[in-house]
Amino acid sequence: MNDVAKIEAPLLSVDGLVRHFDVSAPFLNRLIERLDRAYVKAVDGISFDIGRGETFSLVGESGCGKSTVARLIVGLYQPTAGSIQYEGVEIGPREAAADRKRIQPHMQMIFQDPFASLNPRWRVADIIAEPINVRGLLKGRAEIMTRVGDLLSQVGLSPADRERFPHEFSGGQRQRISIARALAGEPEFLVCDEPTSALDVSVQAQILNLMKELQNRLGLTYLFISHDLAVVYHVSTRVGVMYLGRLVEWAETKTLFENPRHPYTRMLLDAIPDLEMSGRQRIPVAGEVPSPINPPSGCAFHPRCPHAEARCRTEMPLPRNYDGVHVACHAVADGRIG
Amino acid sequence: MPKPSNQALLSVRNLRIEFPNRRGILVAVDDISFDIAPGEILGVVGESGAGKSLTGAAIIGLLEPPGRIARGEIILEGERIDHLPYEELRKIRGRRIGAIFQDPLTSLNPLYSVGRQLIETIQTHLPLNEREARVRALELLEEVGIPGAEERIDHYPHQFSGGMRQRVVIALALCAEPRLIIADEPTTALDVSIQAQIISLLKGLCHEHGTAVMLVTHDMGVIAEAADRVAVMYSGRIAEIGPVQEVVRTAKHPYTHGLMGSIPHIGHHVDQLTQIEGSMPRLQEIPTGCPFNPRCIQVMDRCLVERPDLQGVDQSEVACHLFDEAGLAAGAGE
Amino acid sequence: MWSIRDCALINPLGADMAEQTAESLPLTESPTRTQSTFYRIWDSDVCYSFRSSKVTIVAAVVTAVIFFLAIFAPWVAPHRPFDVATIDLMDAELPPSWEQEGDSRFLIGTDNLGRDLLSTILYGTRISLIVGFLSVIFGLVVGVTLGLMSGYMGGYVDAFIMRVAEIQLSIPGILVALLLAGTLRGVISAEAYNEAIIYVLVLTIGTSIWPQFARTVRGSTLVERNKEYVLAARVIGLSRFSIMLRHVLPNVMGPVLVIATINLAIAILTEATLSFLGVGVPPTQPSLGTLINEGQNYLFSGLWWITIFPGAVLAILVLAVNLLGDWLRDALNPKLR
Repeated sequence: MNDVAKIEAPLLSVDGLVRHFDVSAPFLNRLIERLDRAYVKAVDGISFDIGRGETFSLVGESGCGKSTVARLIVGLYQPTAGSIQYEGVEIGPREAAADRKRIQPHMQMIFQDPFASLNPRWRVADIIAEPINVRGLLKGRAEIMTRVGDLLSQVGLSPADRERFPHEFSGGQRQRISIARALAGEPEFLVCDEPTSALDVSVQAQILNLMKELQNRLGLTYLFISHDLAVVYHVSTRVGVMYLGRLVEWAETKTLFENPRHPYTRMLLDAIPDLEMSGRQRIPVAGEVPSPINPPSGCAFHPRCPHAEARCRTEMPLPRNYDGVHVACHAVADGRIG
Repeated sequence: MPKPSNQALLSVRNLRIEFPNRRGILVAVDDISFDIAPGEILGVVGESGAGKSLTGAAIIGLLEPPGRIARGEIILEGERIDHLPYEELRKIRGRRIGAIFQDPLTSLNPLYSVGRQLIETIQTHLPLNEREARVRALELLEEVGIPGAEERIDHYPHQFSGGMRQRVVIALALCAEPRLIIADEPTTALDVSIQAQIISLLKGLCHEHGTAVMLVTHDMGVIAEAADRVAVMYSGRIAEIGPVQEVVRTAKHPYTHGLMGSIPHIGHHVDQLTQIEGSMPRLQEIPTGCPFNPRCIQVMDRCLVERPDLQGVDQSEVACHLFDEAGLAAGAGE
Repeated sequence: MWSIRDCALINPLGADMAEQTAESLPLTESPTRTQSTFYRIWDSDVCYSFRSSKVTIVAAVVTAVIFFLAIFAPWVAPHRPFDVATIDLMDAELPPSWEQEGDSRFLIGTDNLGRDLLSTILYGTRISLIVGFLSVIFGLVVGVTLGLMSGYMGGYVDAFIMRVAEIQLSIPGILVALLLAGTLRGVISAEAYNEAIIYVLVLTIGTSIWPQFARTVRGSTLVERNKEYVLAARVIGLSRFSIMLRHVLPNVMGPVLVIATINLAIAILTEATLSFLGVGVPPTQPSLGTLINEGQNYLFSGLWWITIFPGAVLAILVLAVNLLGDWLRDALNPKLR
């Protein structure tokens, strides 16, 4: 399906993944006020592969469903439909619970908020030792503590930090502890949900560098979720752009940023503030993201799209492969835009 | 030390903000001075805890106890406002200084319609009757680009989307045509595409009305795009202040330099981002001398003991010993 | 609003705040400084707020003294009021020792049976405290367990537990207690009843207070279960039970402590009320409530001390415990102030 897949089987493969959330009013209200059940289509049929050792990024505005994808993959949510395969093993549906349990230790997750992702009552040593204990990787307190110390040094902290509590650390240091905890389970696949968006820029650089270094050293594969295009450009091998629960375009990072095809990708790139001070004016985009409870018909982007025509309002565009660039857009398919 | 200029709209002189607590006094903002000229957009940038928001809060008199202005002056249009009693400050706030906060939802009262809030604010500051105030409110909503203002004026805040709410907040800030707007992270809670809309709106409005803006943010991109001048804050002090082009392109202070290098850029790929080691010191651990000295790669002996003052370099002012005569000589000798 | 991040959090109390403050305006001690455990506790914010509130210190001292005297009643009390051999009916109805007819052996007088009032009160307080503590512990264990399950599992479990709690809350606690005690009294023999009375009281009072614990814990659990550290534990593969017990429980115990303290006062009062109404502990093993009940019969005969002294002890004890509860609430939850 994509270039990496041709060379070797993908590590993770997602196909037609759907997750709807029930946001209906309570039963009595529905009965008396004659309301229908309402669903948020947070993820509405997306497919992609992630090759071993690469960093695949999902980027999009708030509410586009990128975090939901992350949580579906690590099993925090059950998919409504579709499949998630890890090394060819199906782990998506509820029936695959046994396989999920077997595969689960291979993946770990890094969260956005370094102030909420560590249990405030636990010492750092216990936090990092938890995956080791759960997986039974090591026996004996002394051995585990040595390993915790190693992990702390790996992420740039001191083994002496074991005895401290999370509140004694700054945001960046806590994110390092989070990473150490994720690594403790010896995973091959890390899902990073906005790992730097709560951090200051100078600290963000430290964390991004650390993540890259760990990837090189340990051969990790990342699924990276972010709203920040510059960060995504910096870390990813391939990028997927999401809009209202769907992938509208995905391609190699360089290709996507140099030659964006989908009108939404172009819009996002145009909206980035210009640090070069080249005098380029940001193109203010018209309109806002519609509600995912009641998304527009046809192509969800059509109300904001400068290239929309009648067909876009009625028919949902399916992603098509243009030399490794996947785009879901009628205008691109018709050759109306590059 | 910037000289007090006569034409400055707002002058902050040697401002020091303290938080007394039971273990002692924490100095959150330490001896900072800057001016904002009429119609100018001054960006104030820094990491969280650098004191940038506190400076904004101090100017509009919304420092929350136990925080207090311990020293210094805040001068608005030649009049000292930092020691005014609460009531008089309240009149200045809104009438002469407008405010825009980060989260538009919390700066609007959810129980009143947007129109009600606008009309009330207008009537508080301007001698208009209900009808005239409503007309003015409508004008404002149209000006900030809310489509169908006629209808939407009677809607409640929760019926607006995030971007639209921020527009309403901007309309509220503009009610009394203030000379100065303090905007604290006005785009942080918004998506990139909406961010661009709000920035260009803010910029356009200020240009039209000649309103000065103090734009507090952690986002260098926003600053580069919107501000005329920028002040970089670190540990409650100004590290560098100058025209935005100069600061962004040829940052002089090692901190600003590192900060610029640590921002990923689309277009030129680097394997490793420049990183500043460590993090900003906690308030009770600010080192003597230059507060940046533990993280600075060009640290010298005198940085450990002597606090650098702002001094003119090109069109900017930089608080760094590298630009002292001695420092320059040492730099030239290398 | 402006300064939510920078200023509001300057308040030195509260774990949540300290967390968020750590980066913006950090007030926590530097991680490089190591301190003895004792110093850490002494210097902690909760302890500081205790040290700086005189009312709380007085309340704590009063509570401690009453607890001490009650617990060590068999050693502290000057007489043994329930040992029939040492009681002399000739000593009955003696006024406090400072009154004209007072006897120096009986500091605050004797009751209608000639028992030393001070000793009776000490033993009575002991019973009151035992019932109070056991009831709160019972209510706490039941309430916290159900609240945790309710909040973490959600769905039908949650709906069922919460409906039961609401029904329970809509009936006054004292009524439930009266009903339960009355029914039991009818079902089992008087002797067995007197023997089991303490457990019956604990059961009835505990039953009337568990919903408060359950509701509070459920509320906090709903917040905690969506925090990222719980999600992280789920990704790691920790079982549901372990997550509830090891991650969520320690983080929802703050408010539980406050409710427990305030409910201790309520439980003591409820027990006194029940005993006063005659369904509580029997006169052979009187609690404070029983003593007040007995004394009130003699109030109009001028024997005021029999009812006033136990009443005063009850009032002081409940007030002191309540003050401690109030302080604890403020200290653990600075946002309320």
